Amino acid sequence: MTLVELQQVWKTYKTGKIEYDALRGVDFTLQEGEFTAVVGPSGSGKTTMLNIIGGLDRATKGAVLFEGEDVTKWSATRLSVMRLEKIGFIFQSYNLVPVLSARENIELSLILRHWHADEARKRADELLEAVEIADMAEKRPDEMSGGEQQRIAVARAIADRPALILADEPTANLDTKTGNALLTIMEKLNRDEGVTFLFSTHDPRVVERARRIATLEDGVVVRDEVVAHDKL
Amino acid sequence: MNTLIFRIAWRNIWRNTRRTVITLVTMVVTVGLMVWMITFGDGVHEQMIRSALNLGLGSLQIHAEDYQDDRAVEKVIFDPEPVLEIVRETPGVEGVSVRLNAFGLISHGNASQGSMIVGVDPVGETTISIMDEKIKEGEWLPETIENERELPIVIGSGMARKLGVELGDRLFLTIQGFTGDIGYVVYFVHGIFKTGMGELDKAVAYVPINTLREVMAVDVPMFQNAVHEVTVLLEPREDLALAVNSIKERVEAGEIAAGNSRELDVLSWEEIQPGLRTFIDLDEVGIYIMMGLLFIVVAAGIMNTFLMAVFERIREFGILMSLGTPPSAIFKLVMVESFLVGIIGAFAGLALGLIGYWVNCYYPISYESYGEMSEVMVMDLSIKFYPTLIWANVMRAVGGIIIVTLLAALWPAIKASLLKPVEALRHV
Repeated sequence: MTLVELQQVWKTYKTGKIEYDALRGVDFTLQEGEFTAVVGPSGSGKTTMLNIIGGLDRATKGAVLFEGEDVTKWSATRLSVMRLEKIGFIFQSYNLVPVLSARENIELSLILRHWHADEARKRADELLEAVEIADMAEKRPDEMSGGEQQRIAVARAIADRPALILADEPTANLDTKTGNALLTIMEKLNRDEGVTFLFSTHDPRVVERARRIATLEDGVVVRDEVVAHDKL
Repeated sequence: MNTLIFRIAWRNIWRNTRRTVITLVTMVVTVGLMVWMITFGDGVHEQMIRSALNLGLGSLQIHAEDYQDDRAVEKVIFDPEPVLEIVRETPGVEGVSVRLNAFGLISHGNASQGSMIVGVDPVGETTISIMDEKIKEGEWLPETIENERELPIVIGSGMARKLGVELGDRLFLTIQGFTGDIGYVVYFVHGIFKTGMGELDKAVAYVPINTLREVMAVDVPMFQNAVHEVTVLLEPREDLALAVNSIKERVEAGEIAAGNSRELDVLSWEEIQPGLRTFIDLDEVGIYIMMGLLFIVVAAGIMNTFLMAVFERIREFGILMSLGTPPSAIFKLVMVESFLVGIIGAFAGLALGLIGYWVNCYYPISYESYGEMSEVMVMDLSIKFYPTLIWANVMRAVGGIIIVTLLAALWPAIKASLLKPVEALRHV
């Protein structure tokens, strides 16, 4: 089933009198269960594309369909509900809430989804085990390494098993070992639980594991290929 | 969700401890000052009223109809006894007495002073006024007159000074009678009072009511029991309106008009001396204007704090939005933070104000050095002013600061809720 569809999506940024087209008529479709990477040089529009798919930003022109519904004109509140119910984000710079502990950061995403506090705590502890940092539960972000923070960010993103996880350069700030470990966790989630992943990345480790690679150049998808991995 | 929002809000408040503490100190000092000002103001007002009431005004007075308008000497209650009976039956009455008021000239040698001569029941008067306690020299009027040739009069210190008289000196009174005739009588200074209220000390004299009535009603038997006022003092905090209405109802029912050729007026002190009520009302307005100004200053500080707090956390709001937090919840988060700051500031300020109130109870303030103003202030400034704690009034400052904090945070909260997620996330 088609999860996301971009139809001739344009995104134009204005800085003073200067206009800049970050996306120039992107057509892109994402099916449920995919583990896809969007690659391309810096400034090619990868992050913009993910932000528009996730409802964090709006397309200037074109249509964005999520589960068949055109979300282009949705209100900020309706888009926030879509993010809440359907999408998890993983950012390059982790983006954890600084005043909350590791466990509370995970709980937050569940409580926003109206989980009961006890259930949310139980699930958060499960996820802390899954991302192998159960001992960091009470630590705040500024007491954790980048890798540990990103593990929490992953745990937070997958907490309520969203339909889609948008991961913007998730391994960019991580060492090889931590990056690989996280990718393994994400692969497992994709394989076992059918969670759809869409990465924006420069990281060859992500590209190696992706089963589909879309290449963006100057705001246009220039290549879109399904790859077969021996290990899959 | 609410618990988590409270947790995030609480922790956010203390992220910049110094800024929060400075904001709180401003609020605490402001509320503390307001609470103290309100308790002191209420105390002064209560004492002003009590002072005026105790110095002869009484809580309410019963007059012949329209006597209050022109104080015409012939407008009397011919038979006060039924009136007194009804007043005594009214709950909450502390004291009641009758008075006869005359205007006249008091002379001693070549000096003279236009004066109000009040004929009082020497015993009854002490149940409604504290004039007997204000005697500085000599004594209050005796219950019975031992020597008919030496009628006693009590005058104020100002009058004594002006006339140059001492205790035992003879005063010559020229008084207008009920029928317009002029009567003359000699009194002897029995006591000199000092209230601290210039006009009262200078131009009022007290004599036994029977002696005054004799001068005013020469050859007119119908005035033999006449009085101008039945003055009633209610117990403190007794409901004035209730007592006035209760007596009025019985008057209107015709119970006490019997024997009197005129209808009677039952007037509260506020109707008799509206100036005092107006003065207190204006003073209260002044306090509330000052409170309003303080609130504006504090609101500016709070708004600045919250704008800075929102500006510093734009990226964080972006994170929350990316998680699916709706704009309304972002708005709620900032408002909860302001509410928590408001609650802490308000109640810590209340505590500070109550300490001020408590200290003021032990160390009352005296305006003695402003004694000359007492004529203007219609009160005795020599007394010490104690604060009065009226919770309903004090809670206006407490509730006010919480509302002001919420209002001041409104704009920052709206600003935060209207952030665009992607721009917020990019914010450095």
